Amino acid sequence: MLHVIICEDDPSQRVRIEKIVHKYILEEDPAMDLALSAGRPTDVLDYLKAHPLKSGLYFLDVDLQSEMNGIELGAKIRELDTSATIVFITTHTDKVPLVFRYKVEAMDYILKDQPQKIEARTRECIHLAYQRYLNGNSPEGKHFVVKTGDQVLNVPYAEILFFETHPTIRHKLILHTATERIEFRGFIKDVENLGPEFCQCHKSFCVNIKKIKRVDRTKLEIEMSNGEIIPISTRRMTEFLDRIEKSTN
Amino acid sequence: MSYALQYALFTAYLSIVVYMVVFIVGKVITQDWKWNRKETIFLLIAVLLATLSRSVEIYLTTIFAGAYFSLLSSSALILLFLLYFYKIKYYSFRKSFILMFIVLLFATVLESAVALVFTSVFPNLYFGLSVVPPIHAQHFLHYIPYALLYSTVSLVSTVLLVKVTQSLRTFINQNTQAQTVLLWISVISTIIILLAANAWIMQGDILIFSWNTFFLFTYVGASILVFIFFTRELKIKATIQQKETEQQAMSFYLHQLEEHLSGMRKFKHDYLNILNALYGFILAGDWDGLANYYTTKIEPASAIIVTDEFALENLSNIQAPEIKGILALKLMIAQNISMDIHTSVEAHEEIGAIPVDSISLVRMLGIIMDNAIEELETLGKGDLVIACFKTGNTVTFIVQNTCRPAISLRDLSQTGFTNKGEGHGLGLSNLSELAAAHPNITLQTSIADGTFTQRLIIGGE
Repeated sequence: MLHVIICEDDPSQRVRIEKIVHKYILEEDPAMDLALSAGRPTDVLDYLKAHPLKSGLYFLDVDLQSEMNGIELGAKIRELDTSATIVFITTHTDKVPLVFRYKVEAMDYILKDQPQKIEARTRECIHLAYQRYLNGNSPEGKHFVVKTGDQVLNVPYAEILFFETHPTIRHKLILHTATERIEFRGFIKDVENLGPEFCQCHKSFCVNIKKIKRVDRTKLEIEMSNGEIIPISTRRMTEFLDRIEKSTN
Repeated sequence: MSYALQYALFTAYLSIVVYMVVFIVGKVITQDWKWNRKETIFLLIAVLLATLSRSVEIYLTTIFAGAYFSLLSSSALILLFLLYFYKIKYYSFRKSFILMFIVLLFATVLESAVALVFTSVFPNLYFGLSVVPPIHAQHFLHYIPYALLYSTVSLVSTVLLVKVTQSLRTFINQNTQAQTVLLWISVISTIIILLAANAWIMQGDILIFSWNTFFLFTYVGASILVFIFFTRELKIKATIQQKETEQQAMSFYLHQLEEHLSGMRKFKHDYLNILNALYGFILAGDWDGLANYYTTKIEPASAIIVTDEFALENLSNIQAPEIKGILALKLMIAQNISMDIHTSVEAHEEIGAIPVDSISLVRMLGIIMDNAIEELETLGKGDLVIACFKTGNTVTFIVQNTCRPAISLRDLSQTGFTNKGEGHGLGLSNLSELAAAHPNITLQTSIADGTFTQRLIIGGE
């Protein structure tokens, strides 16, 4: 069951989101319920303390007329429900501040001042969160976690192209996705057993076999789905091709 | 084979496991579960050196029959641990000393406890580190269960110790006063324990005791002196370098401030012109023209003034002057490119200590900002946002700028990619190398929908 929680201090706005959630549940009949719809952040925290949730979906108003704003509430929720999906509701027409996005790792934003789009955007968020929830235990739903001190960064397995040892510094790994490159502390042996889709193809490369476009056996190269070329060693070639075959069957 | 040599070799056999356990305890106490090659090699060499020093100590003591060298191995252990924490783990000197003391005390107490239990359960097989001759062949066999028990007990209790003292450790990490107190307790206790052990070994033989004390102070004193000189020199070097960077950032900053001031003068002049123009509209009674002039010329200009001023003001939450300096400087450069470039700073929390040396941080932020500026220069318009926030003790810097939609991450990750002519573009690979040199830094680069974002996460303990 995916539990949805709403925190919005403006009653009319709150009712509106509630309605959209109810409508979605009625139409799509997902394993989902509206667990709580509150006006004050403390109500949400009290509820979470009494009923610990895992991977809930939270719609939070940023400008709560309260002792705590939506971002602070988001951070507190993250502490209680680490895999929470957080969506902010905000009036800021200008760019949504970076701090929101990166500190709380929010999934999305809904702009209040575009009333015509609210319903579509909310449904989009619910849909995406529900897909993630369904995939929660399957490999597609798994996340790779990069922890740096107290800050956590999540990358879905499905987005990872490959890992690579840093060319000059051995204790760093580079994670590549189509749009991102993350350099963090780690060793290639830590990532080779992440899941069946990850396979080491070279002493310093570990690749997501679902993201391979083709393997060139003569040039000893792998072309990734984004066109990036990475090396493969002769020694690992046979085993590697076996793995690909297994995964496609 | 002489008796002394035999005894020394047997001691080496006894010590090697014990010291290995002691060093693993030291490793576990740092709560770093990963191994890297440098560390492994250092620990292996340290075990061998400690074992060697213990054997030499036993050998000399047996030959001279006076225990003159009875604390050689203890001082060697102290020095090796200091080196380990300071040079391999990059802790401060103060923390290294405290950790060294805790590890040695803990390991010694455990060793004695296990030896005591073993002796009381099997009264005829005594096995601590200090076996008293004569040595029998069976000693070799009996030692094996002892070593096994000792290593298991040590590792389990170290892990427990680490888990139990978690909150205490965070407190000490954040409190320099507590660190100083602990440091002094460690230093004084180390000296007292060494002296007491010394006195106990001598059991009242004043002459040998005083000689031994003399040796002890020579070993320990010399080691600590060497160490202090060594660290002081490093520290001085680092301070000088830091001062230079600060000065550079400051002079840049001043220079920019001057330019900014002359910009202000120009702006005043323009401002007067604008007022005159307004007066012109009023005189002519052209109200539509006035309204039009206001919305097209004055409003956008004032919006820029407000946001840009605001941008610099927000930087005041960052306390380190050199970091503030470099960001302010680069922001002003970006603002000066064109009126179509909008900058903003999101730093709503006070950022005090940043857990990385400021020279590297200034260089990294400099490269990140230069890349952003370079791209904005090419575009001639766009946004530049700097964000800085804390999560616990971890500090995150984010720089985001508009970029040409055609650039892909793949182009950038190739070494030496140039955005703009020759001589540029080495920045990113330098940045990557700088960041990689710090184990506690994560660097994220992303490009999506014409926006380039670099995030630098600096992990605190």
